[in-house]
Amino acid sequence: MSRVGFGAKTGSSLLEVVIALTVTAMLLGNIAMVQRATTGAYESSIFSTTLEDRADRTMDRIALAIMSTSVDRLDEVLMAPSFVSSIDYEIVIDAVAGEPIMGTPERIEFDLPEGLVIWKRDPDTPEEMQAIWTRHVPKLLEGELANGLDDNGNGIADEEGLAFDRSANQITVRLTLRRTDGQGTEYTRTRSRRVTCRN
Amino acid sequence: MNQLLTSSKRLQARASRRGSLLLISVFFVLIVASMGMVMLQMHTAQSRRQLQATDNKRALYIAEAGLSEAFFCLAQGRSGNVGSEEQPAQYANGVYWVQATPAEDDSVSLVSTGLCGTGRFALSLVLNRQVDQLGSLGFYAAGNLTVGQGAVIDGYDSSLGALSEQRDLQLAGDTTGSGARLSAGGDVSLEGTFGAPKKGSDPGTQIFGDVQPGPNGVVSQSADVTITGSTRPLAQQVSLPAVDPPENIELRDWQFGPQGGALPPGEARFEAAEIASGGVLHLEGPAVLVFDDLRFKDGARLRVDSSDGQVVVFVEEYLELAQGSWLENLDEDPTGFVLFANGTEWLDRDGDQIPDPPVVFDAEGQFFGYLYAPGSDIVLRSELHMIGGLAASSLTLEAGGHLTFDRALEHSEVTSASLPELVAWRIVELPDNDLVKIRRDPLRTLSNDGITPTPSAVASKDTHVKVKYFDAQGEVRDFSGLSSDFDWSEAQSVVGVIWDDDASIGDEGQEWFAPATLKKARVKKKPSKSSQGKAKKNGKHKDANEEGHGRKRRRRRRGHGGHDDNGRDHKD
Repeated sequence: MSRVGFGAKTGSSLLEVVIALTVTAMLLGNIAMVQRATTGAYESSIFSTTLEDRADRTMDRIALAIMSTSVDRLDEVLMAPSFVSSIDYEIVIDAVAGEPIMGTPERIEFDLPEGLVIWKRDPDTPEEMQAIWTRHVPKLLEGELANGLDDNGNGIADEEGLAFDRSANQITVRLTLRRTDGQGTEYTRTRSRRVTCRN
Repeated sequence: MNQLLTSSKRLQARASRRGSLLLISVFFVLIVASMGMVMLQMHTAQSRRQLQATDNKRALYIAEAGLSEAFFCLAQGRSGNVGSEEQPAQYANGVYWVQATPAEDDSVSLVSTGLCGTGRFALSLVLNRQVDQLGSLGFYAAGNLTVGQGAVIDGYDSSLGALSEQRDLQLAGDTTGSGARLSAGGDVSLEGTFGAPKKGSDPGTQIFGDVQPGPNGVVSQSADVTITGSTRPLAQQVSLPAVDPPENIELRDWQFGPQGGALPPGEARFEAAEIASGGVLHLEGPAVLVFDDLRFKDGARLRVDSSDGQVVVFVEEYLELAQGSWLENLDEDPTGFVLFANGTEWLDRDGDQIPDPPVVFDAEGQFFGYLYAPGSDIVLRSELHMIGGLAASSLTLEAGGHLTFDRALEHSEVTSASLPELVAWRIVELPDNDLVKIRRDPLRTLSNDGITPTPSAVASKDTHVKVKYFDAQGEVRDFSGLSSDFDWSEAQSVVGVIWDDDASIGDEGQEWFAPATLKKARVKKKPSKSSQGKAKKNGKHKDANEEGHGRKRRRRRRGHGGHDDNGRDHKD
């Protein structure tokens, strides 16, 4: 009687081992799945937020540049439904004797082949300086197709990933960023802002 | 026995393995927790960046709100200071303060610092205090302008002294020899002397200053025309908007006969008045008078005394200053008398079955003042020496006429624009200030320091005010004291205000200021750069020379109440 009792407590049957292994495997699998799902969701969230951040930051920079200039300096910006994808401007840096003093010429342009928004100071001169404000700008704005029509209903046809148009002393800026993550999911973020030239 | 020993060992081994699952579980929990922590940290950093960007935007808009408040203060004649570094103004969930620095050229630099959460932004706005965009055009015709042969056009600055003191005695023709300003929306035609060559004492037509045609216009001149200044066209067309009289002015009966009489200071409206030959209508400022129909017959006089305030006359339908009538301004200050002739229709006014123009301006003498007749074609006779300025649909100066432009009109809002004019808006460096440097919520920091920010609406530093105003009955009234003690509803329209941040109103150099009105804000178009860029010489403070001249340096201005609320656009 005692032997039976001791035998039951001294080893695990094959069945017990199999069950234990199965449970462990299920647990590990679950953890792996949770981790994978969490990481995927997190990466997706980070990817999306980063893209939004980048779009907002670029739009803020463009808006501040336009605010600081005069609409008279933005003659090349066309009224909708036309648009341009780069602007040349000068910002006010001081005022002397009741007259504004303008700074050196600057440019915000869309580099179509590379999908970049580039800011330049003293463009097309030996002193040119430039900085990339953002990447991942698609050829066309979100919802637009190269068909000569206004596919996205914003009043402009076939506008590029960065587009400027004007109405009175206001400039409307439209920007789309598009990026694909490791899983092949495409993220698109579009920003549009109407900016009043303050000078 | 052996079996017992073996069982005992097994039990000990089993006991030693107890808790291993717990360890594994803890291990897994730690992994998951650390992953969670990393995610949380990254997410927090992301949120912080987004919050910082949002706070910066809010700070920008709060700084812009500060600029708007300061702009509004400037338009009222205050200094433009709002709040201070020590006691900022609260706006929404942030604070701001605006520092105003006046410059020699009558411009003001405003620097507004906005703080919200961790966001900080500083903006600068440079403004010209006042520019009368129509007054600065001199003698202006929205259409064509014609100057007859042998005319003299010159200018002076009434804020620097009397016209007689500024004449160039070396020149013939009783002229100052400088300062003329003629401009037009269309062409300018200048006729010289008959028989082209300049002979003997006949100097031909002389224009001692600028002649500016419209953007697409030309200056055509015949022989013997001298222009000493520029003939560059205006940068853009300037329209002449209708300037309506103030509302709610009481309609009164005309109590005088054809011999006229004296109207006391105040506001009044009359349907019709006619002054016959030998009659005199005496107007005393400050006054705003509205007539539907005003006629001065041959030999009648309009006499204006603007020594105590500006006289503004609106004629809504028909103004007749018949040949032989006289205009007088006893104070000889062109900024003291403004005549608005708003009529536009040609109607038979005298029963001869022939339509009469809305304005007949055949007066003689010396007219010190500004005539604004946007719907009329004005012909000035050679017997009238007009001193001041004029704006009309078209303008013809008869042969031998004399016009003298008053440069003081550029910055005394006789017509339509007294809002400060924007010169430059820019982003500037943040000031070196503890509240700015500590990147914490400024409201909390101030609260910890025991400081309660002042609400934006009452944060303007100037609190003492002297007001000259018309009450509901059109009588001129005065108030002096704390602005909070003044019942602004008592003022039907404001003639002028003086603000000060101490109680010493009436100090040397303080001048009456007319607050901006909505109507005055309607003219938006800028004149040419050259006219804008002229130096403003009659600054806010008197100088020794002015005192030496003994000339009163009053800035009498018209105010129609209903302060404008700064038309600045605050969309992004």
